Amino acid sequence: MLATVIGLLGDFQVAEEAVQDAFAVALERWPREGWPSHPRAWIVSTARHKAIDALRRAGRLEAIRGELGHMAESSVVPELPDPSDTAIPDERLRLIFTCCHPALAAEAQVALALRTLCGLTTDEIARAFLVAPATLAQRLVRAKRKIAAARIPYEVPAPELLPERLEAVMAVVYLVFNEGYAATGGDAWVRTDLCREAIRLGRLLVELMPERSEAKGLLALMLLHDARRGTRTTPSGDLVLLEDQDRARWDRAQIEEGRALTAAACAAPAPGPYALQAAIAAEHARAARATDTDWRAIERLYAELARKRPSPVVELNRAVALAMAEGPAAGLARVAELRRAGQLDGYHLLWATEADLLRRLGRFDEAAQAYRRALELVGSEPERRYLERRLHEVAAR
Amino acid sequence: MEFMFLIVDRKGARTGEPVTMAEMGRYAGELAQQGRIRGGAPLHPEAVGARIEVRDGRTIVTDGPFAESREVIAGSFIVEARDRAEAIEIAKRCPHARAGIVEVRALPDRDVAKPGFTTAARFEKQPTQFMFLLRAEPGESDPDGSKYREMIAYDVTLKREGSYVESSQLARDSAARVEAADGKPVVSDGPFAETKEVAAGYYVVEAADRARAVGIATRCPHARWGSIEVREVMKIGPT
Repeated sequence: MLATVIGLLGDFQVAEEAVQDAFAVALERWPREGWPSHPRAWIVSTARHKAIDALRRAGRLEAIRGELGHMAESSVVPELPDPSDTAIPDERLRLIFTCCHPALAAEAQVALALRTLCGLTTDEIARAFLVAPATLAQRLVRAKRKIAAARIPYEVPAPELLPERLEAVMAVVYLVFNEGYAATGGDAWVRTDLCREAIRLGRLLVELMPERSEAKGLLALMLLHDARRGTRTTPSGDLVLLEDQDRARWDRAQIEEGRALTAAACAAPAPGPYALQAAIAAEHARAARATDTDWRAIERLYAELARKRPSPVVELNRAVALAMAEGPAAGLARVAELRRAGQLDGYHLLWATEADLLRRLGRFDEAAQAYRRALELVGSEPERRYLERRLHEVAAR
Repeated sequence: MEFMFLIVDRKGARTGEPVTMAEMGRYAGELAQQGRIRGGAPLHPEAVGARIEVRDGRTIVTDGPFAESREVIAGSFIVEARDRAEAIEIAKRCPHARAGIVEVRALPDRDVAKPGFTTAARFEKQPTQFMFLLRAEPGESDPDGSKYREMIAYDVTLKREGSYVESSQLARDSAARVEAADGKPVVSDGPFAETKEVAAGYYVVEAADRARAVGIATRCPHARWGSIEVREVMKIGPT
């Protein structure tokens, strides 16, 4: 509904206030006067008139008349389908692409998507991202003003632009998911469940664009990660490695759904990066015990991912998979190559990986050196504690 | 709120003892420890920079140094502060305030596409970056918003091409300058009589070399109604 009014008026801020006004009137009048035969159309029409009044009072109607005034003033209400409560798919799709328009700052895209598509309050969004509510409210206001001032078109992008724009939308959704996934320990209960919201957005994308296999890949990836969320940390906030996680506590229903979506996404002619990452996650989820993991398959998937999206971090993950499939020496050779290339010098996981492989080869002094290097670079507390434990272990040998 | 501290030198005149990179590094380190640093970096000297204007369809590229300017921007910090007053207090502690000018500008709409313009070390090799300093002509305006829309379209193009790192307008009404007088920091409010060229905004872009950076700046609509100074960002931290 909001989407429709935005479409008519092109201005988020005005539309949002107008719809709220219209609902307020509806709540007051409908119980007395009975429900109108087309409640949705009534709200849209009322909202439009209220918006026009507001704009007129603010002296802004003239300013937008050139582009939209004629639409706003016209007495023709757009044809709306069945007044059931399911939103018009087309409208929501337009809203998604507008929220995630590249002209908007990335943070603004995230805030706008959560506000308009998930219906989170500004307070909830602020808490989720650990910013002051006033800051977030300002961010939303500026984003809406920018959409109006820049005349960002309220539309689904043209076919030739769609793949790139959809990628941008998926990046926003995945960003939200990762933000939620990173919340661990004490603050997790306070922060709104961003993983759930991201998954909801992912489902929306799959529902609205069923022909896009990458949307399935993204949803699959999120479902598979989310299924393990409860087992990633101990109650005191320490890290639990994948191989030590209690698989009985993984959400099996979510894993099944994730695997089905992964299969569909990978059946496409050229599986994209989300589909490939989902396939890797699916391999882990498939194994009843850590020792059942098909590491060779995972290594092949990382290789394909590296071809699609070359990145030293992907190569590092691939080295880990290789070590699991063929032994630590094979993995260590790869890690040494990455070290020589010099691109991950400041990345603590490069050193942690090297340390781990050296430890497994019984080269304890060298492992200790590498653990120390990793400790110089590590950021998060749970990871720091883990590395210190390992350093202690190898130093004692 | 985010603020940019512009590190400004008056050409020819120097008050107080010169400031070393080490001192500025320590100041940056303090800000980082307080969790206040959001970006910023020193710039390669003006002498190796360029200024671009496009007038009547003609592109005019002038190599630095720029004789007609009385001030030069040597670098910047991007700092988080509660409000303008706090930002000014933080700026007063900048070592450069005793030797030159620290200009404090609010960043109303900073748009960061890639994290990368920062004084803190990151783990991947730092790509070559250039800062564009956009200067406005006095009296320039945008009554129908068409210039604004052109700039937005340019941003979108750069983002698609992958060169866009970040940009923001530099708020003008609330500008402040901190410089030393008799060994004490003095704050003055804008507009600043000494310079007619107001820095109106900035971009940070990735480009392989100066020539490519100049090419990107030439396409910026602002070049048609103002000027764009192109300066390479100095790499610090792991390279």
